[in-house]
Amino acid sequence: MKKEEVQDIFLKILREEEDVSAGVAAIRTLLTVIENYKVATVRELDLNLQLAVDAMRHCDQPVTAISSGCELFMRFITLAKLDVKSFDECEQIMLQRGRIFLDTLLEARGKVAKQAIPFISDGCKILTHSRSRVVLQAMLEASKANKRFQVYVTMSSPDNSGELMHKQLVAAGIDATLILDSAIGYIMEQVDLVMIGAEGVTESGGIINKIGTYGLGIAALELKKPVYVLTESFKFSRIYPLNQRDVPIEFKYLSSVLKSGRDLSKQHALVDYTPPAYITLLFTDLGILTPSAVSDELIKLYL
Amino acid sequence: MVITEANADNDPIANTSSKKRRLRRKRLNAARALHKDLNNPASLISTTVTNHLVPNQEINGIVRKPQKKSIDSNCSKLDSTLENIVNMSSKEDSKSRDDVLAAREAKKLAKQKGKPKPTQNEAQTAVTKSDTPKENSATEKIGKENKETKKLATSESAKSKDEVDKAVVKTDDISKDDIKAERAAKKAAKQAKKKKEDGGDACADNMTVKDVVETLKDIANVAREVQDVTAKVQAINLEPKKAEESGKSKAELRAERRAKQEAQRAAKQAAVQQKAPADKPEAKAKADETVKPKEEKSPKVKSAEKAKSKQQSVNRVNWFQHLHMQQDKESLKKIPINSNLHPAIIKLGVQLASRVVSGSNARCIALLDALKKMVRDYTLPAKTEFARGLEAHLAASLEFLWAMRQPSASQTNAVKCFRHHLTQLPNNVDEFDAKKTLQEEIDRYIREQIDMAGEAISLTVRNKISDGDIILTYGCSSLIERILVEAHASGLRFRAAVAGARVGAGASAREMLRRLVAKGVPATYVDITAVSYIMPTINKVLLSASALLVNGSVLGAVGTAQVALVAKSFNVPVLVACETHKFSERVQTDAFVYNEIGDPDELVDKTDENSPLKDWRSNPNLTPLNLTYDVTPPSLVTAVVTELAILPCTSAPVVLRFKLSEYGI
Repeated sequence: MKKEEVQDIFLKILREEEDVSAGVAAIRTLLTVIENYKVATVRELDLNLQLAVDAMRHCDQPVTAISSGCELFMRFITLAKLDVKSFDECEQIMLQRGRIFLDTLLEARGKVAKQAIPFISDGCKILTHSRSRVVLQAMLEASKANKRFQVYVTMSSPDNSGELMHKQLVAAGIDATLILDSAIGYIMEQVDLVMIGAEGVTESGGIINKIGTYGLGIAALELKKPVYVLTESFKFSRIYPLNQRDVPIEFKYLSSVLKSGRDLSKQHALVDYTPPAYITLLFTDLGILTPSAVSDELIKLYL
Repeated sequence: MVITEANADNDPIANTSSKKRRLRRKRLNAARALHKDLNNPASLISTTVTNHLVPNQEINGIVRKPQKKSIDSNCSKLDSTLENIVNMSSKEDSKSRDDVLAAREAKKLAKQKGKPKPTQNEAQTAVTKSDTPKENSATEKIGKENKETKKLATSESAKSKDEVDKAVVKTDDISKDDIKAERAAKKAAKQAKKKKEDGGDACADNMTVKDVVETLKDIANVAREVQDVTAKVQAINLEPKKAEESGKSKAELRAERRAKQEAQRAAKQAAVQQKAPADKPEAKAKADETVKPKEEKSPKVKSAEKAKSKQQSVNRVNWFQHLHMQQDKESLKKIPINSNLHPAIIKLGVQLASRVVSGSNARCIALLDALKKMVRDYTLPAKTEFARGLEAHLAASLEFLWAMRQPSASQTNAVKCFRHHLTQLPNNVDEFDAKKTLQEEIDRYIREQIDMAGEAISLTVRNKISDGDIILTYGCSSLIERILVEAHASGLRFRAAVAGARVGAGASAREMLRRLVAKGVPATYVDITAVSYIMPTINKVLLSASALLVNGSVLGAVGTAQVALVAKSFNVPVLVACETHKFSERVQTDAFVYNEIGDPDELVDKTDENSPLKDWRSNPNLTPLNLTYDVTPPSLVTAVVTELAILPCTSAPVVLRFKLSEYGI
């Protein structure tokens, strides 16, 4: 198995299917790896999967969701490892479990979106940051439920992903306004709630998300606006950053930047860490959680 | 008691009454002639007693055996119902006199302590060799007392004295039914003890020198109460004839003697087992101390005591009256010591009370170690289930330990785990296997919950330390020391800053500093008052905890909350390192509901001649307060590092739930 092959599969999924997040794409890649590359032992399979995860971490895509998704997947399927006798049997069980896992992931977004609908009331103004598929879906569902609300979307430099979000919202007939990142403080007093997605959820109950989220959270807390985070549970990861400096470096920069060996202090970080104190609630497929409940769920998953 | 006996011939009081003793002997011979049919060779009982003693090397055992014998002698007392009632009544008359007597006794005891004393075994042989009525110490004592009483009052007491002596003669008589009698006596003694406790009297088992007097006062009452039980005793008694004749008086005498002997024994043990330095002179001083006030009339003593306690309460802050206070050296000597406790437990108790063993982990390990020794040396009484027998023993030991110092969360959890394994033992388990299992479990607990947990935490924290960091810590903790030393050894280039205080928990920070510097960790020392000055340069604060409460609060050494508060206000992340065996199910939001009050003298600057706190005891308006713990609210703590994971404080309930499902505790 070659590193490049894995990367190709992964990037192909991301390219062809607009609606698939990096985490889900990574898990699908892993499933393909199990299917396509025949091995004879569990150990070999393990090594293969690890190699695949490593390959995906180095394809110039945001790493946060990839690493948490892969970690959970490995945890979930490899639990079967010790229970069966022959390897073929084991492989079949792993594939089966992997597909079940993937199915639940795909359902997750719908669940989260449904949970968020009651929180979007008629006539409310929502501020969102960057582009999040799950936030988009929640807003589309709310719109379908004949809720009338107004959305402010930040541009979200440096990749201006907010523009795409704005376009998609307008296309769905939702009243959306594109604002500058620097206008967050100005807009904050008008909005009723802040609704954001997340790339990863940390053990503390904080989130790692597109740069600018931390500032948004601080402004929201100062003006006492609730901050709702919409996220699937496969983004829960077992890291515990103490502050921005403590966020793993591969999360903050693309692998190409890290490899180039440039002075990182001169580079823009892609993500920041928002501590749990700035988050009101997390909407997940496990239910609506307070930030402190995240570690409960993680302990349940991993211990 | 035994020693008193051995030296009785040198005793001046005993010598003055030698005439009377001669008279008594005459009467004794007469009594012997009367009971010839029952008479056995006197040597028989002494041999049985020595045989009993040989295998048992324990001090407790040696002390206890002669007491049994005396109870036997009690059993043999047949024909003295009337005389005993007279005896009792004379006693009641001379209650206050008894006080004086007891005081003298105590004095005597103290004097003998001062003298070069024969070893326990020598004393024992002295007892077993002698055939005369004097051999039984309790009897002897009663005799003496009655002698004193006689001076002041009645001929009745003389009568009773004679009866007592007669009883001793009959000690020889019953050696036939020695074992049977012993059993019956044991039962009777138990009942008598129960009765006593019911009556609110001093517990015969836990007596200090001070209590001797109290007990003597109560003896008459006890005897009266015991009369009620006598019917039962008779039923149990395997010697129907004897029981018929003198059931009531037997019980009375038995209870009385037992109480006295217990008192003497306790007094002696209190002196012998006192771990405090300079054993003998101190014991003497103590005895004198307790005796002197007692020589006055008892009501006066009481008022003096009241005044003393009042004085103490004056010097305690009002809102902290409910808190447990550290025992100073004086009160440490007055702690009742149960003779059944294992020496390791007593040693640990004193170490805990005097803060020789301090720190959550150290206290836990010391406790487990003592429990291990206790399990190893535990002898299972006949017809007892191992778990039940040991459980009772454990409860007594823990009661003593917790009286010395309140248990920490780590200790509570360790005991909970130990109890859990104890109850898991199968009913018919072999004693040897059970002991082995328990000792292995204790070892496993220390290894897994403390040592390996510490290693895991050390590894986790190391990942959070980066080159060039300055890590602030407060006080002294074995875990923090381990983390920093290991992180340094792994090649991380960081500095440690140790915050401490002049007194209390902060004072141990200098020890921490010494240990860190000795291991080559670059370290700075700051006083807690300077923490806000140094905080802008600090990258992380690493604190230890005594317990993590279920609401996420951190119970730590006093000063911890202050450091965390300053760190929070400077936006410095605060890490608390805490193994999961320190997680507690208690909820506490402030340090007022539960705390410990340390030695107030620690607050006084001893180097300063003109310290305004120097004579705080004489100033009723001055109340120094030295608290041991404080509570850090969860909002001030960024994360808790446990062996399971780095967690937010608020996840404490999850960890407890997890442990419950994993270990069943």
